[in-house]
Amino acid sequence: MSTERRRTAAATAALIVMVGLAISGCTSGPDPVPPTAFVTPSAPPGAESARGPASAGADSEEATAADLAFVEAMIVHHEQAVELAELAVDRAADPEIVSLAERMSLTQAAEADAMRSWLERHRASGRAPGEAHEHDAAMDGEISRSTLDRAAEVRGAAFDRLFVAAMVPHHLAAVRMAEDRLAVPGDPAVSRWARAIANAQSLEVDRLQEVEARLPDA
Amino acid sequence: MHAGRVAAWARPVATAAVLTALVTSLAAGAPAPADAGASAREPSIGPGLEWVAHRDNPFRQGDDADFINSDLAFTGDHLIQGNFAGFSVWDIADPSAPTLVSAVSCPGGQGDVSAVGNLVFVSVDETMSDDSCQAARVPETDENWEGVRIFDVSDPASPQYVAAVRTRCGSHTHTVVPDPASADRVFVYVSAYSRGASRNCTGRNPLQIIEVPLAAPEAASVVGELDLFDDESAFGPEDRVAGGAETRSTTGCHDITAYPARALAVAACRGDGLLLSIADPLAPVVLQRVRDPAVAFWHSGIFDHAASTVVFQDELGDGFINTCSPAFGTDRGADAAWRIQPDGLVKAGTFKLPRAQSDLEKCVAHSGGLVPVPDRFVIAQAWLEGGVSVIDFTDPAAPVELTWFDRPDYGYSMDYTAGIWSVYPYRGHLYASDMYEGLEVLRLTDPAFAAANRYDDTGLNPQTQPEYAWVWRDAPVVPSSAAERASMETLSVQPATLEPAASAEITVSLPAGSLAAGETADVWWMPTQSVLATVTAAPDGSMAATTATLPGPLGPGSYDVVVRGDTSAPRLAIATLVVATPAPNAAPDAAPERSGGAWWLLVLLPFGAALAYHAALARRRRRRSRS
Repeated sequence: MSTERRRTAAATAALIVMVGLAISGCTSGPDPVPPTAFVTPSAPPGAESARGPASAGADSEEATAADLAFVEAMIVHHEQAVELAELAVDRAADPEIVSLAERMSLTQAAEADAMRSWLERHRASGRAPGEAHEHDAAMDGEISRSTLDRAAEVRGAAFDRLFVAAMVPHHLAAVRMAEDRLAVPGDPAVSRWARAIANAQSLEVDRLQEVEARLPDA
Repeated sequence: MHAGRVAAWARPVATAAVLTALVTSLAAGAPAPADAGASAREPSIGPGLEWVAHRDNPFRQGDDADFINSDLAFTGDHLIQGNFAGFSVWDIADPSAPTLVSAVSCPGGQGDVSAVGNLVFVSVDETMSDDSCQAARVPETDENWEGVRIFDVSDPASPQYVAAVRTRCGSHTHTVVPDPASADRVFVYVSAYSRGASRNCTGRNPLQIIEVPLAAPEAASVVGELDLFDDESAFGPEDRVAGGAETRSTTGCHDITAYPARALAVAACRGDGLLLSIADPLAPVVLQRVRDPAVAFWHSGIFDHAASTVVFQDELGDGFINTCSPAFGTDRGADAAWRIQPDGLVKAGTFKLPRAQSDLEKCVAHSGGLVPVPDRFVIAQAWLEGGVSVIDFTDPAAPVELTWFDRPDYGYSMDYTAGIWSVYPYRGHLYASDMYEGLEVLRLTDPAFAAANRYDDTGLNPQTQPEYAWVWRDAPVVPSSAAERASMETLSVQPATLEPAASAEITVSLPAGSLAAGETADVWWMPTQSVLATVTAAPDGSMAATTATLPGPLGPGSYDVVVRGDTSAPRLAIATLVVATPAPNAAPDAAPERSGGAWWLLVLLPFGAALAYHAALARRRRRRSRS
């Protein structure tokens, strides 16, 4: 390599470094947080925290097999509720059932979408442990195919009774599924999701039981 | 009848249109602040809204939901921003340049925060291995701690953890309620709504009340417990299902907003909305209770100034989905305005974010606060990834969005929840807490918000609504009694005596300690009841020499100049300006002399009285200091 070319190469390298510095200077965004800003206060005197290090049951940073099983099962569970609720719009007689069913189908379809997207992201990033679980066994509170078929054929008060009779145990099962998940370690964010589902569905059970109490007898 | 209805409909629309037109006429390009973060997701910003500053969430770890921001509280120049991993203390003395003073690492969601003086309260509603800041999250069926943590932020760079108060079902949110009988303590209403499968929580979620002695916060403890649902809707044995869960699910509240000046609170309790009397803060009474088939999840509430209307937010889907789409319609996951009538809460109207959001976003009505615009009911409210919306509920039947701040989606659906948790007005700016992105500072630039922006709500806890008094809008009333005046005559005016003139310039100033630090104050010219100048008090409470032009013509007489601060009101600082009579040789006439003679007597008498009073005071002080 000639001296001339070596000099050119050196100049080019310097230029690249300078441009690189300039670019990084322009795009570094907001100042990084100075590490001194972080503080961890010690517990107050007389606190309950003399229990030593966290128990072996501490929640994990990553999704666990229990998280995956819960989300997978809840997607299927939601899909059943949506299928039954969508029938209510044309078939139910009680206006509160119509309104509840509309909201259930919208909300649970959107939640199922969010859970599917969660599953895909966790699978794609390799964060989802294990393989998909088998769902051969009957699901807790499952709305059977025959119930759905019957619901598609009845109207009015008969539909209302069938709707409440199927949806209440179905929702209670969702609450149990959430509570089973909450009883074991897992990703805390999935715990929050499970709590939200249990809360929302138990509230709807209240409403369905109130409607049931005033439905005309068969 | 028909015409009447049209007129009733037309008026609010017209006023709303005026306000909207005002806002629109002032719409300027709203450039991003220089330090607007690395995010390429440029927000859409509505008219009359300026994006003043952005600061990244210091806790953020990618898309990990255990490091998201939650609610906000304010104390003096500091903003406390809750986080599922602790809380941040920001110095907001300059709202355009918030500075992170400390990031307190102390995990436990959801980190709902309040601040009283140097104390910060933090709600923990996740079952933790213990009450320390090293605690790990554990299943709710394990031995665990949840409740309220209390920190002392006297040194905001190094907050001290002073007390941990365990509550039965954790603390999803909490609300500071002052003790009307004592400034030495506050009460904290703890809201929780667990279902009952956890180890410590039976499924009943009583309203637990913590007493915090402000001088001894380490002695904070639960002093009261009250079941707001102790009636026909309460649990029966038949409501228990296998596994321990209770199905009667409204047993506790999600959030409470207190309005202590009106002795009222609204409680948003999942399936029910309650109006409470808090006249005795240790024994709240349910005044009214409402349920609405259209409302899925009563999340929070905001009073108007007169406490005649309340807006409730419905957090349908708990923030995990997008309800701001045509499919969900205009009344699901929305705001609902209710009129407070003697015989019940009467639904008056609903508001839903008018801008449809992508299904990759999470959007539902969330937390917000009253924007103190006199004679109107304007709120700023968060809608998660739907951003911030400023809404005029003055006519609750026809609410109108005035402006907004709304980022686009992330390009994918965030796990769980995301977006802006809450937004509140404080000292003329809007502070918005974005779960992942951080802190946004906004400002309403329309003159319609001048009075709201001027309001100094130092130490605001948004869930404890202050009674706003826009004191600067009315001229001060100067006491006529000399004794009363004497103590107020602290204002220095130069020159103190003037010759009659068409107009004149004076310079006024106040010594340290006269005003509240940093407050806004007006210099009033009492003869015309007009404001000569508006100033900002120095940190030591003094007012620097301020020059003002007096409106003329100035005839002989003695006139009051008054300085009144917005927060130190009704305290006044008074000076008497004397316009001397023309020289005697210029006024030989007897008649005007008689009438002119009266005025200086009127000046001298109070002056004499004041002098005598001061002399007496000084004498007494001397005597006391000697003894």
